[in-house]
Parts: sequence; C-alpha cells; structure tokens
Amino acid sequence: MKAKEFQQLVDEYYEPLYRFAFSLAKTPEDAADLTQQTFATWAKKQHQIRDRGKVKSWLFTTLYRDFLGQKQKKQRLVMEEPELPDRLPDPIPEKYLHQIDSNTLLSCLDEMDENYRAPLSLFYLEDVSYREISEILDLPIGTVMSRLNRAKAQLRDRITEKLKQSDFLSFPNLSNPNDQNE
Amino acid sequence: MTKMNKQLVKETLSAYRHGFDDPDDPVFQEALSAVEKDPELHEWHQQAILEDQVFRRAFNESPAPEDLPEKIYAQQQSPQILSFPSVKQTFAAAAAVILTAALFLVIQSDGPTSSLTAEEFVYGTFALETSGHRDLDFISSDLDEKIRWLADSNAPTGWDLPESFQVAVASGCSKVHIKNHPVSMVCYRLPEGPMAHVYVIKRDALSQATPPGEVHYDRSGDFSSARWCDGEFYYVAIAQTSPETLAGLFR
Repeated sequence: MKAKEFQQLVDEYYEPLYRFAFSLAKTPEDAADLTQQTFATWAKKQHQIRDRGKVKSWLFTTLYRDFLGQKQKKQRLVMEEPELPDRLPDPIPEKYLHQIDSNTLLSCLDEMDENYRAPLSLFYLEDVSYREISEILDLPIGTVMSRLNRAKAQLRDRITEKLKQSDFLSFPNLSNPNDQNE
Repeated sequence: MTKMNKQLVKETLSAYRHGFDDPDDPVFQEALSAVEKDPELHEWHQQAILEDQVFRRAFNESPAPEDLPEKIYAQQQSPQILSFPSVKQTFAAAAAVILTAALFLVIQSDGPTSSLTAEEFVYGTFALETSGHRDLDFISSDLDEKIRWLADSNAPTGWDLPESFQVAVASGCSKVHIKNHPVSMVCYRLPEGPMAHVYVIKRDALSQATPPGEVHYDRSGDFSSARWCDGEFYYVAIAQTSPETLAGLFR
C-alpha cells in the first residue's frame, strides 16, 4: 500500500478506532497505543485482505483482539448472561436528553461491564451494524442483540441515575445552604 | 399483541439503527411492522430513535488526540524500507522510462554474477528504494544481532560506518542483490529524525576501481544520497533529507 493510501485509511478510521479503543481500555494512552498497533498490524498484513469492503470490520476486529491479547485473555470473557428484567427501562424522556453530553455518556459507559461496553460503543460508532458487531466481536448475532438490549438498559439506568444526581446538585439550597446567600 | 411479544419487539429493535439501511434487514421488518400497528410501541420506538441519535452524537463528540495520525504515519515508516516516489517524479518522463528499465535489469538477482560498476550499484540502490515498500528481512535494534544475521545470510559484514551511524538506532536489515551480488542493507533512524538506508557491497565486487576518498552527495526530489568507499567496502546511504543534513553525519 502506498503512503498516500495508508494516510487516507488512517484519516478515515483513526477517530472511530480510537473511540472504540478508549471505551475498552479506559485511558487515552492505552487507547492511542491500541489504535497505533491496529494500523501497524494493518501495514504488515493488509495484503491478506482481498475484499476491500471488509477493511473497516478487519480494523475493529484487530483492535478488539489486541485489546483481549493485552489483557492476556486467550479466550473471550466468560460471563453469565443475566436474565432480562421483566420490564425493560423505557428510553430516557426527550426533556432530559439535552443534558447528555459526551462526558456523561463515557463515564456511564466506563462503569459498565466490558461485554456490554464493546457492542454498545461499536453500535454508536457511525455505520457499525449489529451484523458487523457480530463479526468484529466474533459473537453469534443473537448474542449481540441481547447484549445490546441489556447494555442499553444498563446505560439508561446509569444515565438516569447521573441525571438525578445532577438535578439534586443543581439546587444550591439543597447542596449547600450557604449558596442561598450568594 | 401480548406483553411478551412487545418485549421481543423492543429487544429486536435495540439493534436497529434509524437512518441507515436497517429497514431493509428482514430481522427488523417484522418488528417494524408490529411498531406500525401498535401506538404504544410506536411511541416507544420514536423515543428510542431520538435517544439513539443523542447517544450516537455524544459518543462521536469525544475527541481523538490530534497528533495520533502523525504518530501512526511515523510508526508505519520505521519498520519498512522507505520508498522514494519523488525520485521518479523528478526525472523527465522519457528518461524515467529508460532508466527504470535499466534499473530493473540492474537489480535482477537471477542468473550468474555479472560485472557491476559503482555507478550501477548506486542506480541499483535507488531502484530498490523506488520499487515500493518491502518488509525488512530481520528486525532488531541490536546491531550485533543484525550483523550476525547478515553474516548467516552470506551478506557483506565487517564494514565500519561513521560514528554518527553507530549512535543512531538501527531498526533492521535486509540482504538484497544487485546484479546478483550480495548487498547488506541496514535501516537507521538518524539523530535528526529521518530514516536512512545504508547499502554496503564488497569493493572487489565492483569492476571499476573505486579508491577510498571523499563522500559524494546527490539529491533527487526530497531525497539525498551519500556514497563513499572505505577499506574493503563501498557504501551508499539514502535518506529523505537534505544533502547538508546527510553531510552532517560525516563531519
């Protein structure tokens, strides 16, 4: 691959790859290392990819495997899938949605289990469908769907909790009585 | 529709992406059809779409480090032989075609060893650089390990580079052939930053006498080369830098 093509590939994918890496590794340094490592692997092995339409999926898959490898996990995390609750939490009401920014979302994601973080972060990266998630994470489609479902439910719960806390703190007379005098 | 069915619809649509080509996916079609028939599900679905849009936007707002692409490009260059595309661009088109054909013949390794002039050796090194990326045969930052590998590969060893190269980081090496003569190639990162490839051939492999003497510099596009003879060996160093920077290595 010529340098220009390589640069185009980096320009196109480094941001979503970094975001995915950050959602897994949780630190900017590790996320940057994983992203760099992914492109280094690509530079060495890209000749093996015959179908250019699979490039994106290959990059995300490689990053995910590198992440698992770095954690010295030769096999995927084994986790019991919890039963789905009787009633899934509804989406967050529209009037609260405007309070959700990148920091809130990432901090909630950070608290979630890795088995949920990976599909959820891939889902919210542009253009990654559940079928691609299944390929990248090497999971059956049904498992991806149920994990996405549970992950969204967890995320809603955590965000709602954070919004409640922030609402509470936004009342100066409740958080600090002295604020009333300012 | 039963309550359980509603739950199944919701579970299925958790993977649905509004605004993409998901409506064409048979997996979603039944669930979407159910949504259209049930006002409560319809409202839930609209709310879920809005929530996804906000989450997707927020997730994609998190910044990636601005210098990350530069780091990736730099890393990508280090373990590979540099290609010098601009060398070709600097030649006039007609001359380039003739030269490329000649160079191709020079770097052929098939057949018996044939006579090689110093000029052909230099052309051969440029031909190798312009023939595109190829991986280094042996990657190691330990110079002794590289020398051992070159010796095991029957490539020239025993040569001596200027002191500035000895303090530079050598990332790897290869054995190449020019007119079927074995040539050692070592990849260095110079103290100023650019990568340099040093090609070494035994002096007696060259048909023309090349007395030891001063270093000669050439420039082609963004790239410069230095060639010199020392003891039993003839050397060519090529790097993406100015001749002045390259000359600094020999002071």
